[in-house]
Amino acid sequence: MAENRATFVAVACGLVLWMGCWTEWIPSIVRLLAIMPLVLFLPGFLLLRALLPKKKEVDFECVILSIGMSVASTIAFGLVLHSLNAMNSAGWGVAVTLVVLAALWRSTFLGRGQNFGSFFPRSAFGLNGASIVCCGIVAILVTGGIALASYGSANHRQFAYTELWMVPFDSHSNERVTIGVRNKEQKQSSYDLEVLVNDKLLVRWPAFDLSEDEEWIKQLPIPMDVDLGQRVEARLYNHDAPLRLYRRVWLSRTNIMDR
Amino acid sequence: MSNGNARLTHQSADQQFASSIVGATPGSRGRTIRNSRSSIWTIILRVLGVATIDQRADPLVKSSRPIWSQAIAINAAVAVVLSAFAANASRNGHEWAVPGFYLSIALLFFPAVARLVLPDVSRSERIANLTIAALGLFMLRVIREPQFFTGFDEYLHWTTAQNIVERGHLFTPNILLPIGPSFPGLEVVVTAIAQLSGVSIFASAMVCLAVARALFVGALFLIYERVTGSARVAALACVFYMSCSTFVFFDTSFSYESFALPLMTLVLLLDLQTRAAARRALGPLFLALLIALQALSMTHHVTAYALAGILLGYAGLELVSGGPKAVGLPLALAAASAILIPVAWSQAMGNPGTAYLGPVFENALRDVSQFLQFGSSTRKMFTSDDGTVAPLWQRLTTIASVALTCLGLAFGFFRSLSWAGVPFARGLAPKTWSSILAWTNSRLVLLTLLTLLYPVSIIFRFTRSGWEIGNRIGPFAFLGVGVVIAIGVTTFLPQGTRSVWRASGIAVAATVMLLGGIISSEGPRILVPAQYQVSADAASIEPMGINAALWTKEWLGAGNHFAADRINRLLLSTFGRQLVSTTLQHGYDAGKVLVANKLDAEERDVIQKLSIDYLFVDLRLTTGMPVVGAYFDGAAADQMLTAPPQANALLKFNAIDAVSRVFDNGSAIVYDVRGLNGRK
Repeated sequence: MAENRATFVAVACGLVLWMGCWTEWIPSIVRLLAIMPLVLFLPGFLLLRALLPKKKEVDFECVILSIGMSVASTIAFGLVLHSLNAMNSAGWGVAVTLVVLAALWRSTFLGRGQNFGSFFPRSAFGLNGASIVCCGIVAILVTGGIALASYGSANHRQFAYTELWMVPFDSHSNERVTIGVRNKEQKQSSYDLEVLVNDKLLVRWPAFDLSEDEEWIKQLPIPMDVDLGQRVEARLYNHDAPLRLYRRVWLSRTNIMDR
Repeated sequence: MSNGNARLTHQSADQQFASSIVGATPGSRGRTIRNSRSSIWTIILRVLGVATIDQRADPLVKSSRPIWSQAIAINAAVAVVLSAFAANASRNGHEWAVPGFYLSIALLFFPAVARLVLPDVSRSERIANLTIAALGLFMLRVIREPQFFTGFDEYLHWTTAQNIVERGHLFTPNILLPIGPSFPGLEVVVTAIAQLSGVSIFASAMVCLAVARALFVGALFLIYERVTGSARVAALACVFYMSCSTFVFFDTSFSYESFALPLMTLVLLLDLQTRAAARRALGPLFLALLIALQALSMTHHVTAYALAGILLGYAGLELVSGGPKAVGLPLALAAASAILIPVAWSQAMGNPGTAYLGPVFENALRDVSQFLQFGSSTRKMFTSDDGTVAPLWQRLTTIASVALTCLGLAFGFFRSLSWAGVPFARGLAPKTWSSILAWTNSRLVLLTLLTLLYPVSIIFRFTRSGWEIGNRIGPFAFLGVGVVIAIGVTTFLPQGTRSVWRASGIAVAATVMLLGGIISSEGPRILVPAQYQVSADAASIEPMGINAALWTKEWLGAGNHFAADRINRLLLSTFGRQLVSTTLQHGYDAGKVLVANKLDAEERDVIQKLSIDYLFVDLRLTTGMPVVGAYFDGAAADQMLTAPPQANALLKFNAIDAVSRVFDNGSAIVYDVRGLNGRK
């Protein structure tokens, strides 16, 4: 029994330490599955065990109360972490570790030889071979349903479009602008782009192709004789309708000079 | 709480406990007022259940039959897959999608209910079937929005959660929902899971909401079981609770009510534990109750006050029926704590609820008053604000749902009071004033009286401003509606009756009630449609708008001050991490700047006062009227728009010298107006 306890604690502490955000290489879904009982069941379970030590068996009521008290105590933990200015992954990691240590203390000193696993007899959940197979089928079907819906949602693109933008290069420079084009036409597209300063052509990029989701970004020096009220303007033409002005953006002198 | 006249003939200790609570007299069904004549009045009384005592403990079922639960679980999983096909079909514009989705809900729900209705089902099987039904319905919510939030309120809370993760502390102001950060219980738990596991806030929210749903239904079952002494009635009560319009989708959204309701049932369950606990366990249980109450107070204001009302009502009924001794110290302390803790929390947060809720209740009561005087505030039923009318089958299902609920209440109201030991409902002529009030089960009396909120919620739902309040009353009214109808149903299908037809009939009725509840909340817009719709929440949130919001974060940086319509505000605030202007925050309507025909002094003044940096113009607003009734937030800009805004008005900034046009995707245009906001 002592070995069981030690194993439980070692595994739980190890999980918490590994998962508490110091490691990135464990897939988040694995960390999620391991973290869930530690946050959404264990705190309440321990709290109830501490408050009501005479209640030994784990029944439906105990499970529900454990979940409920875990949610409630997690909210209380949050308030404490906020007051300690530690409401981050490290803070939560420490809080969960403390809960696991409380489990160790609880099972060692208050459990009177009862190991943690004995609280959860297999029969209490009615698990047998058929139930496990059923759970597996249900899990596969539900996961399949979610995957199907996710696929449908990800591929539901109502609009085919192209983004064009122009922003000052950075906050320290007033001599350059950044111009960008992103193709979201759901197909490869060809574009012409021209930049005008005070309605005079500064530069032209003819016939560049972008595949779906591809970006085209250029930094462009701007002459410093831009008058008040004038613009640096970018005009984009799509080869599907080459005579029609497809997109346009501009920066007024105010925005360029004050950057 | 005891009844000296009860004849206990039960086999199990549980059933003895049940009888001691409800004052049951097993086997004494059908006892009516003596010397009553065979008149119509007597028949009406008998139909209503006056003078009929129908408390019966559950039959002793020796062993559970897991094969049924397994079959119901697989059926539910198949229904989830079918609902996924329907959701995808809706995105592809197939007309059968919405009926197909509702059909999958029925397929999921019906078998579980049909099994729960039967008398000879074990308690463990009832719990299993109930959990399958509840979590199966939750999965439909995941199927509906599998990748990102689509509900309006969800984005408000997502902003608060993002603020917690980014800032590392609570109470960061949230412009979209100023009251939200003061009640961060939901966001605390969700961000804890997200930060520890590394999953997104969305994924963490789905997990937490599923756990909250299991907690809610499990706690509700245990409460009903303790109050009525019957696992069968408890399971059916949970089933009928599910027909509340908010149960399936609204109360599983990423919003504070979704967490508050499970916490409320947790407190009620703990309160029940304190009443049944030994003296030594009272202190620890009360400590647990205080922790749960504090969590609830940190999660949602209205639910915390509703719980205080329920506990006060219970204490009041105990006081009336049994005097101060019947109330007892634990209940008195619980009721006092349920009032003091939320009030103290609200005071500590600066009492944000008054400004937030005051106008909502004021407008709702004004509209209800006009409605009762046949005024003009009536909502056009089954018609959305853009004029879309719900299909006939949906209208009929909703009407049938309300009719069945009313029928169930009529059938169960007096039977429930009788079950609670109310003398006049048992047909006992009152001899003294105190004998009128000498019921034996105050909790059941309270739950029965809570059903009176149901017609109130219906009246609110008929009005424009009151609709939302009517919707929010539902979860509390249905605490009573569920159990009262369940008691009525057990009368209709008494023990020993193995009629599959009767059981199927009740399961069909429960399924119709569930579908009607969902339709009255979601209607024809239950799924994301193929085509974009203007200001229609889930039908307006799509990748182009999301990418535009993401662009602002990437190329303009976070924290700029934007003015935008109500949908793009959400996207800019969450995906773009920008600050957005709302009338709720400053009292200035930035929407007027966007839709005005000219940029006059008034509009320039708003830009300066709100220190707006960028305007986000969505030309898709010109394509239709807003489905939910507002392009912005219902203030002046919306009131001046009786038709869709003109493109010329939205594009007026093209002609302003000091304005730059920094982004254009053909529909969304971002204007840089820092040259006008006076900060330069």
